[in-house]
Amino acid sequence: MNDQATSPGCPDLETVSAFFDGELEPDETVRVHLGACPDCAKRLADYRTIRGIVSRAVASEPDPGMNERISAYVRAESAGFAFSAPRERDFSDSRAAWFLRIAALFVLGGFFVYLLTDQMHMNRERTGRLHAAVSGAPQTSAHPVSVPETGAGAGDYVRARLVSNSPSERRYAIDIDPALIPAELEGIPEHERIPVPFLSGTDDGAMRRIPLHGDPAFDAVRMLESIRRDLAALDVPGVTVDTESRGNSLFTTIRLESAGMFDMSMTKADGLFELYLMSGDAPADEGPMFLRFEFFCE
Amino acid sequence: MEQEQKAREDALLKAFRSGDDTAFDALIGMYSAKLYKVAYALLGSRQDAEEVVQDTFLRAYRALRTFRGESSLETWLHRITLNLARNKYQWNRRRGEGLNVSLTAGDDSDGESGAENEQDVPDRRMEPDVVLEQDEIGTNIMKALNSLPDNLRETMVLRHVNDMPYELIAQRLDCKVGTVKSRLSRGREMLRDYLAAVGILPSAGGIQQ
Repeated sequence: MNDQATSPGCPDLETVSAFFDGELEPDETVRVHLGACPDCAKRLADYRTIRGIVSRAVASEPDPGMNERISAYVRAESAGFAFSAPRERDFSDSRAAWFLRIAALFVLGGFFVYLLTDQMHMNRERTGRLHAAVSGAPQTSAHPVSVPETGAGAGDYVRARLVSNSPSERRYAIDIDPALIPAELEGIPEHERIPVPFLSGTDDGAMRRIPLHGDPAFDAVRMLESIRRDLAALDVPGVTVDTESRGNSLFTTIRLESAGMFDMSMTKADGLFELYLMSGDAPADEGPMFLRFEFFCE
Repeated sequence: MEQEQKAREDALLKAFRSGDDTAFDALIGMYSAKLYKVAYALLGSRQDAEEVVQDTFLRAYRALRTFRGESSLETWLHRITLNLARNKYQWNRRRGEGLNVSLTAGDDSDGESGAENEQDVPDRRMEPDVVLEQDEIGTNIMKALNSLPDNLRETMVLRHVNDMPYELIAQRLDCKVGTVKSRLSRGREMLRDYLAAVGILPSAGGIQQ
């Protein structure tokens, strides 16, 4: 498969494909070319053939009785399911609160990764940055931690604060400031705040490999130990964490007692790993979900 | 049209939340067929598709009270369906179950739902060899689709079910429109190569003179 059409002067394949779907901005040059070029005409003809046979192959109408079966199934499976108003709980017990705590711990773990990798760099440049970094009193500075851009969780309501600054360690505390919780959550009872209300299909139990810093001076053992320590400190009802070190890898399994309670996303930017566990819209009685990670050093 | 659907959806949601259980049946009626088509296209089995749609509505039934409406209900339901279908597909694959291709009625494992269906059953006016050929093409295209990486397969399926526009596919898959564009292009080229290799597109890839 080529990324480019085969003849010089032909538009790239994405353009041809989008033109075929009628999703291309009007472009007379492209239109004229596709009308005149035999190679592109052939490609478009093939796309039409593919569309036809794919559409036929995947077409199916539901059985006429399906809706009744769904309705009966839903009622039977939900018998006894509580639809009354949720019991009032303190914010500290709410799913949103647990999400924030878990997110904070993971972000903290991510910061450790960042800080320790950064520390290795500083060690290599000991005469410069490191000295400057410890010459003053411990600073307090806010580092906004991005949360996903979509959903009600958008915003910077988790902040990291530099609380310790020494030659051997810089440590951040994670603050969750209720005042920073997005205004769009206001008016919604605290116990019903759900940061990101959709499922993201992460309950497949697959191992996610997270590469860490590849610098030769990188202290893998120390970094993995700090992650392990942070995860071991995770004390959230319904969440248990097991870790096992093997070589330069730390295998972590996080068990969430209810698959429906959380979604997860992970991002990596500028050496900072951010893992978010988010409460989901799914019901809380779907059995456990396992999140498995391997933090490894390249 | 979209506004009408949204208004109806809102009214049904409100009714359901205030205790009118029949409103949920109306929501099933609004969306089940669309969800079924997507699930079927991804799984190739009527039984699996119906199970996925059932579970989608079960989740929705339990969670609708707290549904915040940041995406449309239809988008939310589609995402649940896609996730469930994805999980079932992986599960089937891990168990080594072959692909079910329901080009003819009753070849599915679900005897109950083997009712003849205009779009599932080859046109009986066709000659037997034409029917066989159509079956073979259908089997090959399903194999070809299943040879694609999951993200390409899902994007191709959404495009070919109801001619879903790029923007809607992007919403359903929670990705960018540019990603959809790229996936469709790659998916088409991979299918083109595959179908050329099995002789369904005899001259595909034969741009070389």
